[in-house]
Amino acid sequence: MVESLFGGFVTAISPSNLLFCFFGVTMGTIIGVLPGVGPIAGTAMLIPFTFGMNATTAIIMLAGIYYGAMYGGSTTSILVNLPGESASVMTCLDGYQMGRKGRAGAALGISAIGSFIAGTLSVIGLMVMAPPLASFAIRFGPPEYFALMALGMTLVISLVGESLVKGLIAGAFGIFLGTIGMDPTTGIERFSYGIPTLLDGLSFVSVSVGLFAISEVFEMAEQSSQPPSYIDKISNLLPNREDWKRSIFPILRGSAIGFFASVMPGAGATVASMLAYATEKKISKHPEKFGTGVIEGVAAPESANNAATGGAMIPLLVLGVPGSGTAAVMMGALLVHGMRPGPLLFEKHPDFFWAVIASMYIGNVMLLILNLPFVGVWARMLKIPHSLLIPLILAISSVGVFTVNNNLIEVWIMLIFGVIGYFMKKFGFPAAPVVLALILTPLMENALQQSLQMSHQSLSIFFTRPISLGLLIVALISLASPLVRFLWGKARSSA
Amino acid sequence: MRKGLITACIVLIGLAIYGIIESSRLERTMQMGIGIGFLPFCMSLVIGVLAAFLLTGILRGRIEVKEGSICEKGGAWRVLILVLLLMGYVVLIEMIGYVPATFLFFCTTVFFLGKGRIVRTLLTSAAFTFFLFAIFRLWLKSPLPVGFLGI
Repeated sequence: MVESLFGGFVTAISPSNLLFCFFGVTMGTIIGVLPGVGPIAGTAMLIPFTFGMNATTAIIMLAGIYYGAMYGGSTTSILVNLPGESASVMTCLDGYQMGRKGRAGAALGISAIGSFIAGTLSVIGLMVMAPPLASFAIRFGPPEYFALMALGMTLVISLVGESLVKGLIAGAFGIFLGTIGMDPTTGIERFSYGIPTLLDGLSFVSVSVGLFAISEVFEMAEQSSQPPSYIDKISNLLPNREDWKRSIFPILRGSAIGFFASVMPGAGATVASMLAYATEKKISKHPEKFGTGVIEGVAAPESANNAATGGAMIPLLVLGVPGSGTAAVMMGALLVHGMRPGPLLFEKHPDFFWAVIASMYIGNVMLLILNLPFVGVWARMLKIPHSLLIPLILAISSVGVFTVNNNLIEVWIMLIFGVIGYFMKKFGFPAAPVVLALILTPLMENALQQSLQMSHQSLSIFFTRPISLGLLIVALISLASPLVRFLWGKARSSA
Repeated sequence: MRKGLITACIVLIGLAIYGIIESSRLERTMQMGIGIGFLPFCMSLVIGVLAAFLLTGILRGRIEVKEGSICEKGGAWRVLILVLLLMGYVVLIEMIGYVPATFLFFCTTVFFLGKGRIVRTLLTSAAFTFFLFAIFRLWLKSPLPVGFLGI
């Protein structure tokens, strides 16, 4: 393992990989700082920038955006009570209160240091857990893969968003979209109506940029007011001895919670930060002080959301099942670059895996440097007026999507999905299951067909193999649990 | 919000009916296993049933819906104008080429959103257009559309 990691570092420190790692973490920080532009939108929007790169450099950059956004998100939460992305919502509760008491520097400092420790620990976790899991998953056949993808999808559907029904509709819509194009087995067209661009299916880049970036821009344009900017000077970034004493265990606990929560598809950084905050409050001797500006309330959720980025890489890289919207976009990027995530990735491209891991160590160091001395620069980002930001995002997205196939139809598709995404947000339909299903459907359909061929058209193959049966049972439980909770609650209230 | 969600459900039911009709023309079962119409047919059915369930729940008051308008006052107009500007931009790219279309798009959008400061709008539009051209054409070497002006 040490030898492989050393090899990974050799690849990661090549000038181009270092440069794009730096570019990724910087863009990630900016995306995290700017309210409205989340990591999914940012990652999707910047995929076209990777088309000229090799897969390793591309994923190093995109992963940098992902974990960079987690660092950046805390800055606006602490300074102006406005989470840059959803995973930083919990940081607002105590971070902003610390800022109001004149301790914004300490809150930003512990947030950056906690993020660094958690990010590094989660990369170690990824490094330790990924190889044995990959060697176990290598035994998976088409039925197990089908069951695994079904599980990934149901977990994301049941955990993301406010309603299971809306999540299921979004997932079914995504699967339907995933069937558009030429069927790989028979070569027969489905719903492409003779449009050559649709023969290869809907490009996930156009759909995800539309659903996430363009819809977010529309929401930004809808609001008449500009978010508040921070004008005070930020000082005393390094935590004092007392701060350290109170933060170190919340950082470690937050790291563990964040990592393990995000290994499960669907939970992601937002759920991880909420769990970490709730845990700290529960075990604290003074839970009543949470929400008034205690440093533990910043250290725990910030560590958890950064640890979640490493954890989310496990289902993505090892099993080929993305556990969140950002991971789904990264999986799409991997497929665009000709890399199929899954256990075979270790066998076929170990250099790629270890280079990405090594770059995450380097990226975390870069982020610590970027976020401590330069925090004032990021705070000033809030002053960028929407009148400049909106056209810039729209133009970058349009030209980026055009470069996917050098085809303007892709831009029209992006625009259509931008409008769909805007209304989905308005009516509470989650967009992540759509992109996840769009990416997984061709793989899932293929696995289903292969499984049925293996069993001579019998569905029993999914129930006679223990792993696929186990995975399908968990998938069923994840779908049934909200319904059971609802019925249980109703029965209790009527009793 | 209630009316909007009801409309969304009706649109989804319409989409489901369209999907069921279209996928019925494709084979749902084949000798090799499932046919190419199997997944789209099943998913259309799922969308239709769930949208009908949601619609019934809203109409009978069993599903709570947030009160009030779906967007800020005047916000819908800003979004609509932005959509039209973006549509105009895509049409213009094909007609006059990437560089002039992008410049015009920036001018109109910055002017519209930035409360109409002409000199500032022109300067920022020129800078942004050059910035994007430098990234995509000069650095990434992407073949950007060229119109009758040759740029």
